Amino acid sequence: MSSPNAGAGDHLATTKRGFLSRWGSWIALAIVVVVALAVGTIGTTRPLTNADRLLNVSRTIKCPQCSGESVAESDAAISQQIRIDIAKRIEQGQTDDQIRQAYVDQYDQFILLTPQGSGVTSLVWVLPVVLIVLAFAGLAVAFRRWKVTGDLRATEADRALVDQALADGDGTGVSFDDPAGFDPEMGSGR
Amino acid sequence: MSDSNGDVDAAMLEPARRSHMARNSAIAVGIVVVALVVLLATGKTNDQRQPSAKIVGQVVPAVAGTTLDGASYDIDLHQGKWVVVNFFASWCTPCRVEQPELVKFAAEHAGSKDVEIVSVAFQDKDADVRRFFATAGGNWPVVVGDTGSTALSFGVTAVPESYVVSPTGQVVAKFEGVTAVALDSVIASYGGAAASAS
Amino acid sequence: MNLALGTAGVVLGLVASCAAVLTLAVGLLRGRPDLLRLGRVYTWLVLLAAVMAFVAMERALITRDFTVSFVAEHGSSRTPALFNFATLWSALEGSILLWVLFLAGYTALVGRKFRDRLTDPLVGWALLTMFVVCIFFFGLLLGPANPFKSFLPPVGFDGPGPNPLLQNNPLMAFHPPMLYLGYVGFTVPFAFAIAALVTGRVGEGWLVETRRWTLIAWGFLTVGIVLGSWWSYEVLGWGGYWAWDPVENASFLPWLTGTAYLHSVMVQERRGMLRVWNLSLLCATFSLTILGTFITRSGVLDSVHAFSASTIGPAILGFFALIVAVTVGLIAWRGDRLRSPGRIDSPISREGAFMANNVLFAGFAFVVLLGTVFPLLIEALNGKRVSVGVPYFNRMTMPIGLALLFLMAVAPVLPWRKASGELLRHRLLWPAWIGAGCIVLGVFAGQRGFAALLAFGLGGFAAGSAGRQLVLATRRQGWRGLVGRANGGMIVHLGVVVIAVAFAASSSNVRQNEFILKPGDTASFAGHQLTYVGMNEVVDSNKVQTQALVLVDGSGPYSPGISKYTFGSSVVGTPSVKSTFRTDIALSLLEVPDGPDNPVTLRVTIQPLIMWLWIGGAIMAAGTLLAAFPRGRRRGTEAVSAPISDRKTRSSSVKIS
Repeated sequence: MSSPNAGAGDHLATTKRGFLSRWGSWIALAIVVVVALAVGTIGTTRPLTNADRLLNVSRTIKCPQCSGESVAESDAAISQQIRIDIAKRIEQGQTDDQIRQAYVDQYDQFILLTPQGSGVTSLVWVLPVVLIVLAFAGLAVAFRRWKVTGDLRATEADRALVDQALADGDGTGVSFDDPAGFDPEMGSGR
Repeated sequence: MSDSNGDVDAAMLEPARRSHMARNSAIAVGIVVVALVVLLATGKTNDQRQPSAKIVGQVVPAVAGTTLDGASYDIDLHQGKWVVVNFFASWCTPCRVEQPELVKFAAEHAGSKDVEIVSVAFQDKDADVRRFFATAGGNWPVVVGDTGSTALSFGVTAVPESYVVSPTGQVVAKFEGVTAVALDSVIASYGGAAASAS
Repeated sequence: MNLALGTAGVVLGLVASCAAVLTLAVGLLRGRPDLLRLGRVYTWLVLLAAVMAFVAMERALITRDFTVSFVAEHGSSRTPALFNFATLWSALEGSILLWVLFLAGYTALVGRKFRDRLTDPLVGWALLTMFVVCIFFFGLLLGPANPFKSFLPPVGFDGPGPNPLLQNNPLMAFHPPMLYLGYVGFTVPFAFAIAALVTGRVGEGWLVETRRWTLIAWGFLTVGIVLGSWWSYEVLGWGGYWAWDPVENASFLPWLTGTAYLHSVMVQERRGMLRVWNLSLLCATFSLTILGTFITRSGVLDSVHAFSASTIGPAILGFFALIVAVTVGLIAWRGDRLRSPGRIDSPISREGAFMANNVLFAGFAFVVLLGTVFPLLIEALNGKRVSVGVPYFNRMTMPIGLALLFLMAVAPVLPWRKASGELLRHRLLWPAWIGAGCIVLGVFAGQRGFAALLAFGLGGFAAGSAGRQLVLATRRQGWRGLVGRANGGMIVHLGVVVIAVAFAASSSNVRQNEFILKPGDTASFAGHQLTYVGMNEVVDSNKVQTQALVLVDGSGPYSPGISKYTFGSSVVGTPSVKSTFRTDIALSLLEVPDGPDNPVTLRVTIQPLIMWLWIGGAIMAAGTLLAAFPRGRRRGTEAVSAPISDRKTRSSSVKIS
């Protein structure tokens, strides 16, 4: 983009132009995305009706009799009663957390579909995050190590190995895509 | 392995120093899976699990309402007696199965004034409840109407469930499907029907 | 007659599999190619055995032969004819029979496909592994899951029919077979993975060969899962299609590792890397199908979809433990010697993207597995009961899903080895604008919520990227630009994007309410009008259905109902759904009204874009077919990098110590 004869000042100007022409559309894109997301997240949403609140709370409460369904989904008699009760509590003005706590008091922890994060139960939240972070860290370390070690080159020992294999004839069991593989001298003890 | 050439990185090529990552990760995974298998082998299925009984040991929640006969019932007025609170429904088959046991229990203690039963109809219609008692028997107060919140306050998960309330107003036992023998043994273990506040 | 034929089939299958394992083992360990060639004969025998047993059972079901215990327990003269055929897989023993049929079929197919290379130890070990799996499943049929027990029906006996929940919907006939074709299909690449580990031959040729098997099995599994989800939605009545239920998770886990494999194997083909990792993924996928079978049938984890409890659990768990032990043992023993010494040049490359992909899918699978067994873990540790349900899974998998969408957008444009920022900026520009456009469109359409909008944006980004690849390919090659692995893969990506967007939209915009309506009443909810017209009763051969006729926005009538089955008096709700491309309105009747003039209680669930979930599934299936389509003429695959001869050489008789 810059002409070979450009002086220092021209180079600076070219870089500036280069930056905008390289990143210009992406910056515009970023602005559009941020604005749209902001409008979508903070903008006026339909206010939560009681029915919405009922749905939100009942989706977090397990139907005590069913196999894992929430009270919002199950048609069991006890679920219907719990939905009626939650609706009553919402009308009385209780908050979502108060309602959930009331149910834990009546039924014990298992009634909540989200495991509470204290003690050994918090493992279910923490363990996956830790493992994934560690895995990516491991990947980063591996990438760094690969960069550092530089290019592979063949050593004398490798060349000797290949010569010997060629001299032996075919079918020695050497797989060509693993040059440092089966070595008759090394034996099988590893 | 000689690396006398010097223009090579020995660490990459020496088989003797080949890492054991595959072996170590395999063993780690193997240990985790063994733990998983043990977990799955010893897991209890639903029928082996004890019902949750948070209410046992607590003060009995309010049981009040209109009975089938139109009278009003309030468990607080029955302090000083053993009360068996039985949640049931006419559409529930195990309820029908256990009803004779409750009838037998009621007959055993018909003379004594210290042991009572009260049934609470759960999500049911009056006509069906009446028919249920007509066919299966039973002559004690049956609370009908809007009983949902009563059931929830006990922590009822399904019908039938029965709760034994001591004379001091404490819930001492919970049953899913009850027998007269079981009820008697609970009462006996707490000092018998004639016992006062312990 | 049916009993005799069926039992004979199962016994023949078991005996033939055992004999096959013995023959192949001797052939492999002593280097006797004539014995190895016999392997093919055994595949035909096993297939014959499985077909015998299958035909015997279906005949018994269709003719309602109640002398067979399985038919007495699950068949019925009241069940319609088509359902009787599908009754086979509605209960446990029959489902194992279906599994065995597919397994025998796949084994015979392998025998036929590799008929020219039967003397190759790799094929020998693969067939041996498949026969070992056959032994297990035939053994189940003879032992804990025996459908051919005899029964003496009293006079006038009629069976109860299959579980009412399974009689409601024709999807019942398709979901399990698709699912099993997927599960069982993974046995083939697993067998070759074991063979590769045992013989130490992980040359690229073999895994390319079995990649198509894996793709097809994966395709069936995908279709099976989508059909299962659709069926749940239609039958269970609460507008949900994915509940992170243990059985659903059990089918999802092998799908996740299988998808990771399908991508990761491309790195192996190009760069020769990740060989042991890919072998591990294949073994993990197969192990997870066995684990899934266990979860579905053992009753240890509570599920709406589980088979009724039986004694089969310990056997399957034992087999699972055996598989994992063998796999772990082989990898621990061989793995390090088989690893390639290559390395990746730069993280910003397609290899780098695929490695990140592997980490994400592995993480995804871990989250799903942990959440599923966590209640068991806590109960074993301190006796308390906890529940891990939909809120947990949605919250934990959402970031992973979004990251995967991002990778789906970026990876197809990344070149191998190394990419420059310039190149990425240039190639990703208009896909990124499509993504931005999707966010804007979503905001205008009324969508609110950061996560959902981000999902729209990333989905648009990924769709744009996939579209770009397809446009370039068709520009170069015409219609052939839609066919073949890369292009078919892009179409599958489009399907995934459609499903992701539909999932985000429908789960963030659920509206639900209950209404008590007298005949003629209209309720207004979320912009829709619901009019209760009246009651209706439908009497079928096996059930009586009470329906409430409801007009939705003037059209219909839709008839949610409650069915009472004549046998066993079980009562099952049958919801009714109005589906349009924009919204789905699901109606369910909560209680049978006392009389035709009494009010009814209706539950209404409204969700947008549900239909696009099924359309996305169809796109994925189409893409898989196109990806499996052979491109031009392929050179015969070189079995290994070194030629194999029939004489006894070190390569064909690897010593197993």
